[in-house]
Amino acid sequence: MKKVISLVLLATMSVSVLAGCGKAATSSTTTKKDITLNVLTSRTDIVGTTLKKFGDDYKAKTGVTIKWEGITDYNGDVKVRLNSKNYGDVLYIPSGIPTSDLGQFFEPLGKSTDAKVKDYAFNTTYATKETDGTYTTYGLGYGMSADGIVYNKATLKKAGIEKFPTTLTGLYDACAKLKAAGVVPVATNFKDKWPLSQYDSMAIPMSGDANYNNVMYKETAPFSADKPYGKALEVLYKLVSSGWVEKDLTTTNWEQSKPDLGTGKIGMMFLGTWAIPQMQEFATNKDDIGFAPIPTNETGKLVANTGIDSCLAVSKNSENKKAAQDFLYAFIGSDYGDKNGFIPAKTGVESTNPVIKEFIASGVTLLKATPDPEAADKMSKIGNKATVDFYGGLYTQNFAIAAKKSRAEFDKIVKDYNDKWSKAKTTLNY
Amino acid sequence: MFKKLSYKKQEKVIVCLFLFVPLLFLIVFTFLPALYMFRLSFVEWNGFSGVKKWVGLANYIEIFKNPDYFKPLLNSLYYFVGGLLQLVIAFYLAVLLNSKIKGKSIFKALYFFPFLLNGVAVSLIFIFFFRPDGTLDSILKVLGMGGFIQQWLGNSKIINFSLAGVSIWRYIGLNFIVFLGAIQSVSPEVIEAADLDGASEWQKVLYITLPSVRSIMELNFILTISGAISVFEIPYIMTSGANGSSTFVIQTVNTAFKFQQVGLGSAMAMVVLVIVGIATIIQNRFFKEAE
Repeated sequence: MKKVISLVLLATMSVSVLAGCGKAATSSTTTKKDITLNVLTSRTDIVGTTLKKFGDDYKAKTGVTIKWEGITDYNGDVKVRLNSKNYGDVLYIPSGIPTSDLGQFFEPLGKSTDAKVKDYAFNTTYATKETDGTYTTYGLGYGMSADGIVYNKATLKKAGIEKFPTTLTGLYDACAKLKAAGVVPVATNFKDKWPLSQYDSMAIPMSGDANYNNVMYKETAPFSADKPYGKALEVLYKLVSSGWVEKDLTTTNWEQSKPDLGTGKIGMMFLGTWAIPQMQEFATNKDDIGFAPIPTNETGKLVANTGIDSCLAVSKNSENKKAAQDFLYAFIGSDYGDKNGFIPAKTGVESTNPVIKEFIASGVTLLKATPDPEAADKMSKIGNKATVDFYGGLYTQNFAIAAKKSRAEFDKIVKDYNDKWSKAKTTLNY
Repeated sequence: MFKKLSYKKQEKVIVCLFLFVPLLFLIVFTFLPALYMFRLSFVEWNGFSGVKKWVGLANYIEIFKNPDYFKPLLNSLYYFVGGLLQLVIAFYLAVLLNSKIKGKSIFKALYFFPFLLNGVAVSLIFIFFFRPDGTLDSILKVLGMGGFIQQWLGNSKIINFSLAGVSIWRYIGLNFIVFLGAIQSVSPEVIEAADLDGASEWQKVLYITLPSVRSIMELNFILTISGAISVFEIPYIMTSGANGSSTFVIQTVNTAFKFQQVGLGSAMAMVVLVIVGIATIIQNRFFKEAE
């Protein structure tokens, strides 16, 4: 009897191990009303609030249920999931995917000149160029973000800065005044790495050419002080070596920096228009938050690198491709972008955020690149081989640390990365 | 049919059946992925594309040629020395708590408690501990030792000492409890005999206690080596390896997932495996001979 019991137990255990395998009951015969779309998002901060509300409203309108999946390490996790067939129905396109691979994972939305597609700016960023010269678009975005400086007007006024500087020297003077007033002039948010991506973005205004990244891969010593990326890193050097940043870079805290800016402990942060609503949330006075372009020279002419924020795409393995596409257009065409600090990507739609309107009205020229997928691929491949993670912040951290130590250390690191870049470029034969 | 087999054979069948499930897990989740990773170490792959380019030993050569990849190995020395220090302190505490003192249970619990905490939680707490004007700085100020305040993580010369310290705090509990168990298992007659012979406390520790924990010391030594090579959690969460605190495994993870060079990352992981394997073999030979 005991033997029978133990054998039955063993059999049950074995079966329970295998129970996880095999597909769940497929809902291939669903009626239109039963469709559930899995939408992956990196915005874990609003997945339960803003996004959930959007999903509920969408369900009320169309009967399609939206299941949001917020992922913290979005790029890392989703890129691994791309190896499987399970990465949602609609998802933000993770970083680092060569445009030649887009068709492997995503469903084409149409040609860039097709009816709905052509309404959106940057519709050739996530697209592949066909042999006949047309672009097949895979991803579209809800909003653009201009890069610049988020600052606290009240804090600057208290330190004696009436108008936001429009020259680089003026910026440095402002930093000195803020430091004298006991405020952290510029918060780098070094620890989280991604905020340092601003120093990559700064290369565009430094070069004055919106399409600089399309030719950047041709450089052999891109981090030297006379080249755009080098110039941006020189700004980083000046800020760190003058002590105009946080006291201890390794222990910065992004979430803490938001109320610190709002309550006057930090003066400025190099971020983008997308950060405006987040800063306003924590400010003692919402109207204290201002946004200005980064002054990159002495001419006083202001430009801002403007790019598309995350783009959404439809998974190639989705079982409800038409419904997913409909949702995608509904989301990007809604006021989500506008309400979250983005400049609407849909042509003809104006921003309603007062800070952004003030920013655009200041006469700044928005630099928008014409995407060149091949050039972008080359730049990113050389970067990966040279351990330069553009817009990732890891390599920028090393420059910041060297800047803190000495000028000689900084020069050494510039040389190191130039050498790594040119070696990688030669190995890849680009 | 089962009843017809001899008792010995029945025993064998039952044992095999029970072993089947854990073995299945071991093979599926450990050996198969390790074999696959071995294969990946010879290709160039970005992690999701359909194309894997065969490059032979190029990845391994890159690891040993390019200082970016092998320099973080040097940081393992800090953790290795820290691990040895950890063993010494754990042994000392175990000897102490074996003697007649009040409040033994409380101290035992206090020393073991850190080991039970989640590693991520420990790392996050220590970020607040080490930040400027954080817990450590405040304690030093209260004790009047404000002059000793440094940038515990901001100063690249002492950041590895700070992180190794966190590692000691985190893992000492296990060593301590194991040593305590071994010490308490020493037969009381031997201790009595030593007392009768007039041995001092120190002599008792040196000639009775130490030899009795010898085999545990050997095991812990090998664990210290493999632990020092594969340090990841504490530095990754506290500083993400910045400011000179990067370790070989952090570099491996970044190479594979940030720089999208999965082949090179797999090769680095194989290197870790080989180093730990060699260390184990050396330790086996060395300590076996000594016996």
